[in-house]
Amino acid sequence: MSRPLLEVRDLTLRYQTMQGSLTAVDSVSFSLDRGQSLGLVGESGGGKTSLGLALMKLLPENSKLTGGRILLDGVDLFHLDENQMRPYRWNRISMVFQAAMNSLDPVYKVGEQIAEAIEAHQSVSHHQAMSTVGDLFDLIGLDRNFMNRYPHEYSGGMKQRAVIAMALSCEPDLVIADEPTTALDVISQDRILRQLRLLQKQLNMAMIYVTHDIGVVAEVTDYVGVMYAGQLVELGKTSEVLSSPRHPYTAALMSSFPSVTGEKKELVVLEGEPPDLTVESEGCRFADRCAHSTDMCRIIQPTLVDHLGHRYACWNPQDGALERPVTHRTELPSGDVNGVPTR
Amino acid sequence: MNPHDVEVVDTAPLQVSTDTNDASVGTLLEMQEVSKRFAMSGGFISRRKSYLHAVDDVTLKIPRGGSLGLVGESGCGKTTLARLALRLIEPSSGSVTFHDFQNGPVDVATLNGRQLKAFRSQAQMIFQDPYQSINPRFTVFDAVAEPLVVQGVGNILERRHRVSEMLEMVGMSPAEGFLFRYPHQLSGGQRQRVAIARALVLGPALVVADEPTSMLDVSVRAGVMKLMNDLRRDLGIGYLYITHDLATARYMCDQIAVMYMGKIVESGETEDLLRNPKHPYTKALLSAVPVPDPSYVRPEVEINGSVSAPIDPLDRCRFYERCPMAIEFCKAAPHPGLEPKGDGRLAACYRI
Repeated sequence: MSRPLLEVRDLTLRYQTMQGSLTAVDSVSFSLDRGQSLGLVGESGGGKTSLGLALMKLLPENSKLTGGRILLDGVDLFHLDENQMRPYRWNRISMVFQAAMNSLDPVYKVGEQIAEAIEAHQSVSHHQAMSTVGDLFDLIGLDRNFMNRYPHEYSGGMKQRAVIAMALSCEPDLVIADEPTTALDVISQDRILRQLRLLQKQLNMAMIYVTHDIGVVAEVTDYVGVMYAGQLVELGKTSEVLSSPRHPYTAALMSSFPSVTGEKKELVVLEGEPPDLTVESEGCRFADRCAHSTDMCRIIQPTLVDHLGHRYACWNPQDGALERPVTHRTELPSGDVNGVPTR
Repeated sequence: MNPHDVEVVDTAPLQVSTDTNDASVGTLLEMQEVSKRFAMSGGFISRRKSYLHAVDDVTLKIPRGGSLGLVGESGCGKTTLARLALRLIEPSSGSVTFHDFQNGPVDVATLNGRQLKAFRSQAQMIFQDPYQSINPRFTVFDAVAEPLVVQGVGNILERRHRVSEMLEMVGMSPAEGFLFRYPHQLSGGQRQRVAIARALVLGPALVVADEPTSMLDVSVRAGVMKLMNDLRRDLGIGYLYITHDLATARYMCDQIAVMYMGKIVESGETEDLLRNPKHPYTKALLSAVPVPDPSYVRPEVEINGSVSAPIDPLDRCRFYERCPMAIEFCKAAPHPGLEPKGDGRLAACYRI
């Protein structure tokens, strides 16, 4: 069997805060092959972004990876120091940061910024780097003329594309995209997601999408991991997890999400708040908010168990028969068709 | 919901307004051919001024106790329209009529001094970002009581009572535990609840909500949406609900108006409009929403280009350049009017 591109085993990340130390990423394990994508969903504070940063080892001062392994093509990144990490960042793993709007420097031309990133990681001339930037602009669907413009001349969608171009600039094996389209409106979001999906397949990259939008997960990912309080509580094929969620948290997350298609369902409000991570607890971290919790849940923590590739950590898994409404939607008329067929 | 069925629960001992079941049952706010143009500087050499037509000839009605959703991409003029409705800015032309509790219809543009202050107690706003809309140096009590202080309602004890009541109403219970907390001690959802309590403390008939849930986390969002719906039902408040998210609008609004470059291009009953959109822009917007169903294959969005700013726009359909259905006629004709297209639907398109 071939080795997966990325294999994460029992990765644990702890933060030291004024309130005490907390575990932001708690023994997370998963693997990902080339050409495949994984969505990470959950509430804010669930550890999605921390996990993304941990994979690149771009961690804030008050944090520490306390255990686990990050195997990229068999090389364990966990023990590498800053200098040893440098060849991996951007060349092998890159990231599209949250709020991409603000991750461009306002006083540099966008083309120059991307070229600078390339020159920092590869031994190429400025001229070569700029020509790569041109190719990247074509690839991501930006006008080459915009290479010589400043970020303020870009629209939100264009900035997002520029930041994605930068992430792809060194042809990485793995791209981590942290809420890549959250700030955009639906039409730009649609275009960028389609393009990312296409590029990912074309370049045979692995991608990790961090998002809170289950619609986005359904459309662009092959696998999905649901994070709660730093733990991966459910993991499996996207089609399977979303059509039959086993963990009550996944089910609750899905039913609190308004949908524009299908029958209008009552939104279910997930009461309570995520647990205080500075307090160590036995038992399932979701137990207090869970409608199906039993005494057992409060005493012993469930671990992620594999059921034919669909993994979940729950003592009382749901039968998965989540009511999926029949999707009916109007189709767009093509060209000059006047009528609107309704399905 | 039928506005006639609205039950007005008078919970407020010091409510400013009283009876909402007067002769003007039906319409709460009416905007007639409202436009707002912003002058753009023409540079040093050119003296010619150009204008950004942020809101152009918009007519809409919000029924008492009803909820109208205003949907569109960023930059389409939604927020400008909201600000016009509340007279936070003055319209360039057109009129905004508020159907007052006692005095019958009033033209919002002519209000001044005391009347304007009375209008403000009746029409309130909830902003998008609860991290910015609440003064960080105010306690929860200060924030929620401020409108009462401004309007000179009640004494300190009555205010305290009213604020506690409001906090309980928005689900911050027990209120005593929250009264003297500062915003930084609250979560995002709790802050937005405080913002809602603050908007509702005077017992307004109209609330303009500008993307009130878009900054909130998924699980919290459903709670705030539900709360706002419950309050509308219980208090008979009318909402002008602004959002870019059609799925949210579906849960919050009886009616939806779709805005594009300052114009309303389609409006109608929510479910009907979502099921059977008529305007090509509405169709595109709808087909771009990701569907949380992995087996569903979404049709391609059939528009190209991106929205530009309506600066001195030509008098023709604003959607012409991006429209998959456009024909030569659309290029030469003036912007189509918002006309009935059957089943109570209005749309501005020559091709429907």
